[in-house]
Amino acid sequence: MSIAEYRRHLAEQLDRGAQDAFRPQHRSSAAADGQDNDAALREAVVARQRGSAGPARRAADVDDIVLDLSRQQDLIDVVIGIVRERVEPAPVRRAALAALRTISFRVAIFAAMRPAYLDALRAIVDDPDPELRLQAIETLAQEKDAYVQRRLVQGLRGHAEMLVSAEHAVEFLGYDVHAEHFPILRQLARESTIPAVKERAIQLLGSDPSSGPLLQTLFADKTQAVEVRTASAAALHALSPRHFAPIAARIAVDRDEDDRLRTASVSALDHFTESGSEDPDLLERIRLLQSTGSSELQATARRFVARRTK
Amino acid sequence: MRIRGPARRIAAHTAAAAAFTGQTAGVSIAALIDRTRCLDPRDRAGVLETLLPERHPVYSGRSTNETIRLRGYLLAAFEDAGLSNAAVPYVVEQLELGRDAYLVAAAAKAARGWPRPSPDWVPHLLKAVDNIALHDDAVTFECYEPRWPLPAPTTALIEIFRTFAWLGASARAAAPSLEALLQDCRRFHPSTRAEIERAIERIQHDTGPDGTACCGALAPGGLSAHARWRQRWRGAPGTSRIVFEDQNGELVPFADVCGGKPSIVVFFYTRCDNPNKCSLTIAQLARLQAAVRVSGLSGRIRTLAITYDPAYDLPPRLRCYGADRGVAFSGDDRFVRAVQGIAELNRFFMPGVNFGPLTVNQHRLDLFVLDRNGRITARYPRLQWSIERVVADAAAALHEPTSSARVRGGAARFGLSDPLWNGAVRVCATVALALVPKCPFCWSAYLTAAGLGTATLVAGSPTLRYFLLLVIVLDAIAISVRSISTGRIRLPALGLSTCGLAAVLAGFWWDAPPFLAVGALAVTAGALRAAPSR
Repeated sequence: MSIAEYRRHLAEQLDRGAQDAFRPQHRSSAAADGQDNDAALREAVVARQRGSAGPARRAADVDDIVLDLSRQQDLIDVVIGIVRERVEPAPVRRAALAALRTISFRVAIFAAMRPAYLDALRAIVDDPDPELRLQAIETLAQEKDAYVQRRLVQGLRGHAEMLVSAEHAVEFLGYDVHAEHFPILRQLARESTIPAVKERAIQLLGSDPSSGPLLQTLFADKTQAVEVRTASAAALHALSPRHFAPIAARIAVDRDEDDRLRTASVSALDHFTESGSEDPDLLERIRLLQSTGSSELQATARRFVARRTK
Repeated sequence: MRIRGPARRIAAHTAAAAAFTGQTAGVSIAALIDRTRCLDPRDRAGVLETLLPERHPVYSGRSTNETIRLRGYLLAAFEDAGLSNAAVPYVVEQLELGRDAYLVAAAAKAARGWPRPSPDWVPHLLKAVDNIALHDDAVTFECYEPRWPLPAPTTALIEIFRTFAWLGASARAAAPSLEALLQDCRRFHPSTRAEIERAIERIQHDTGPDGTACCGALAPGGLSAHARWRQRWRGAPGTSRIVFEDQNGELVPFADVCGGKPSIVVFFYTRCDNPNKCSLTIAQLARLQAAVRVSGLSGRIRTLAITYDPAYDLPPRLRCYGADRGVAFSGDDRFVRAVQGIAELNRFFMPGVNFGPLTVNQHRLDLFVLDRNGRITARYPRLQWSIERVVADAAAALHEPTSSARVRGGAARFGLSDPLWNGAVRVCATVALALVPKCPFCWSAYLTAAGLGTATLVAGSPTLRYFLLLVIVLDAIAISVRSISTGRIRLPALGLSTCGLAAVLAGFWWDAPPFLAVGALAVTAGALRAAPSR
């Protein structure tokens, strides 16, 4: 073993020993006196977080106490404070936020901390650390938070700096059906040049009755990307099967159309029981697809025909 | 007359509030709310009240979150403006049913705008603590669109306990409950616990009146008199265009689901995310069905649940939603969506609801009791209703003569109590019939006068009323013809008959028994005047 390797090995042993010293200090007295153990843990976490330990150690400390957090409100307060403080190292703050997200499902104790938790999350929606920002915004969006929805829409409209990518912003807005940001979603569906953003916006329009005409247009538009047209088909099928069927039937038998789109159309028609999909002429034309086009299209066509000729 | 100074400012603010639409920017509305601070507190509440009704156009087309923010900011303003009688039901509703921290906090603040502390607030505040305990949040009312981090956020629970502290001695009944809340040390944040302790201390040390004396009472019957009321409500006509689709996909006209038997009608929608509202309403409806069965009224009373969201709540969804909550479907118990005549349905019931681009953005609870003619006889708005009371109302509609509810409704509208009015009609009609001359020519007039006064007491007699109307019209024509044919145009007789006929027609149109009675008497008098003298 070289001197460098020995020094590295020693440092690892010292680190491991320090961690072991930290844990047993609390675990060994757990059986004797739970309150003393909790008090010691609280003191150790607070002291350690204020101490000179490096970010990695402090993050590991927070990870270690996740289960203990769920028993002690004041520890939760300390960890929330870590999340809020932008002067704290990012790894520590991320670990703190992850721990809070984990215990937030334990409603019995966390309910009392919910206002402080949400308050801290809102305070960091424009945090310099992108990962922290993304996690905070996603959590708030899952809570259908009005503040984060407002900030996301401001970013999408260009009225303020984007807090997250447009794709994420659209996805997060979709978490709340009552958010009703359909005007901005329709604009993105029509005008966005980012395929992922366009597709996600189209997916969400599947619950907006007034977007039917737009979805029909996108579905039928051969100049649109296949992915966009497929997303439009799915949304239109969910929104208005009656309007979906004739367009899908037209696309299914059009040899100039992309096979992936034709396959998706035939498959949707196969499960669509409204009138139109039972058209004998359509059945004959799809029967011809059993021997043309891609293998997936042929297989889908065979299933369609088999179901209707039993 | 020119309106000067403060009156002009009030008029300007009120007009501005009334003119708001769904396109008005939220910040503009908030700015008006803020500007009302320059008004006298006695006038400020009046301006704010303009924006309270759920059906106000200002909420049309807005998302749920935006609507919540507007209404919360508005409610919170009543703390400084003073809480008016008209605003009390809205505040109580949020405390009793609210699950949004911003709205509940605003309601708790608004309660402190009441002129003086009252113990009536206690049960509503305790209910709010239970409602919001798992859904509390950091909020602020310092500005309409705050930006985080907030300098001094509050929470719904903190505002509720501050209201308890404000109540002081009036909240003595709540002291044991508040002390019990402190027993679980993990249930509340330390800052919230501090507010509870402050409230308890204030309650225990307040030496002021406890609000139960006359000067502390809110109104006869207490605060509940404002919020929980059972109204005699006359719905507008025009339901013939309404067609529903029920949970089985069957199309039924309004008359088939709301006519022939008394009906109990509730509104709901499956995407409601407040479990204290639609979900609980439907669960209550299931229990009400059971109560109807226990009362032996099955097959004689209908229940009907109408969705606010017909585009989304298709029959399979209606069926699942009801079945999941214990509702039993039958020909007399349906869930429906309106497929035609939605505007007429809205005008008939005037439910407290408004809509965003896609779905409901806010609504209140609404239950209606309809008689056999499909006319609304009672309404339970805004708060959860008592099953026993609703069943009693429906049973009363069942046992009454078909048009008697109309008479009671009309009598109530003119400030007359039902038993007194009915008794007076019968006594006066009988005495008049005994005293007036009995010439045959007058018998037709007597028939219509007495008939109109008593026909409403005959069960199943809507046709009889039209027959009597025809008789009185013929009677008035006969009087006129006789006057002209004898060459002696007796103006008083003609005038009385004409005026009487007009009054009878007005009474039929507006369903007003006093007009009917006056008209019948006038025609009778005209007949007497037209009678040949010897």
